[in-house]
Amino acid sequence: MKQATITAGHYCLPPYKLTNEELEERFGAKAVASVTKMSGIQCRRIASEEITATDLAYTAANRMLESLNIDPATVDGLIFASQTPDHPIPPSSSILHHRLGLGKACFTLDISIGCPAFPYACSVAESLIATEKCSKVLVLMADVVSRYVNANDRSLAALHGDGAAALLLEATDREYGFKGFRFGAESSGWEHIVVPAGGARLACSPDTALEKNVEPGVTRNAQQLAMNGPAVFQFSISEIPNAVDQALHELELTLDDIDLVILHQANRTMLELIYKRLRVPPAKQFYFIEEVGNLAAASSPVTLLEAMRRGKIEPHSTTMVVSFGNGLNWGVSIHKWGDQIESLNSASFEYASG
Amino acid sequence: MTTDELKQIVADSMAFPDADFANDTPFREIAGYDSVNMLIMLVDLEDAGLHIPTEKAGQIQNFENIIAAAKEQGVLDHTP
Repeated sequence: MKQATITAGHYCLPPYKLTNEELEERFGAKAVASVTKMSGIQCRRIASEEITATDLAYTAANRMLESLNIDPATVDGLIFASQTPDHPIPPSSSILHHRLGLGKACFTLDISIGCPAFPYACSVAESLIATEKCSKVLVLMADVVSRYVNANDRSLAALHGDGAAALLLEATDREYGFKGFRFGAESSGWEHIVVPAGGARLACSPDTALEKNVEPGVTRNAQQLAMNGPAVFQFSISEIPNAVDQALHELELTLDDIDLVILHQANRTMLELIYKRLRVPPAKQFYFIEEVGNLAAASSPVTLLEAMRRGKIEPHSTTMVVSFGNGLNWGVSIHKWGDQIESLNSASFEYASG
Repeated sequence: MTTDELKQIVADSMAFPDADFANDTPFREIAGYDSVNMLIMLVDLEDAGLHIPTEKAGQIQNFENIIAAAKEQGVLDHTP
């Protein structure tokens, strides 16, 4: 069995910044203050109408490949994790495969998953590499959740941003790379994060497009994202610490073996509670939410890459990424870094068309 | 913790003008209601030793629901 390791990464964010000041004009200062107090988010990156998740993912992947002088034809696997595809049919991975100029002998797959994307997508890539079906896999994780958020839904408009991350996973004979994955699902709560209409169960119609005022400051229609915040919050602070403990136990590791714990960046208060329950010391914590918001599928990989960019990840160190959210699903991944970390290249992380 | 103390925690977290609301009054009907403050309340209840289980967190509508959880967990030392 081959080992699979992350050898490169890059991320891309849309340039437009939705600030708290702008939200205050929409919802009032008091309402925004309560969201900020809970979430710690001051600013979100929002994609304009012409920018999709594949645009952001393409930019991140293309910049990464170009900076490393990697011939796209040598990439033999592409996984695209997102819940905001370009079209219902075909898979967006096919669009990205074509646009990136990858070769015909290439595994391509969409994974329809949002916030928990990182461990799920990386584990599929790792399996392809371990079983020698692929040797060089692009793992792209991107979402433009803002498309599904009503601009007048204070509870969600203040939380979510858009973004993409690209990772390159390759085979290695060395002892570093992914050391394990664990997954779980509390699927009885699938309705807690939902876009009710637009799929085969409930087609879009004039009725589903009708906006309703759910509560003061929260307006949406059935084609837009709805979240039961208290239920998701409790799921996260109850289930995730247990899941991490269980994963470490099964992989015969302890927190002492982990140098950095990256959590899905949903909400600063929630993350603080999870870190506290896990007894993760501050030196092993990392936050990247204040400037970008919750990036859904891109959240964990962008946070990992930002930690790398800020020098928080050393050669030979071990990071644990814990991603959770819609489904309600979660995943834990552990990765040991090699001698040299091909971190973010010097290219801008901001999206630019063309 | 007494019921009054618990109610005061809820009122403060929810940024309600005062704790003078009936136990069965839906939070949504109280002036100043803000769904985000429900999350702040859950955190404050955690800090006070009351953990609302996941399956109940999304169903909290009023103070009675919170008393019920508190009773189940034995964190109330006085219930009028």
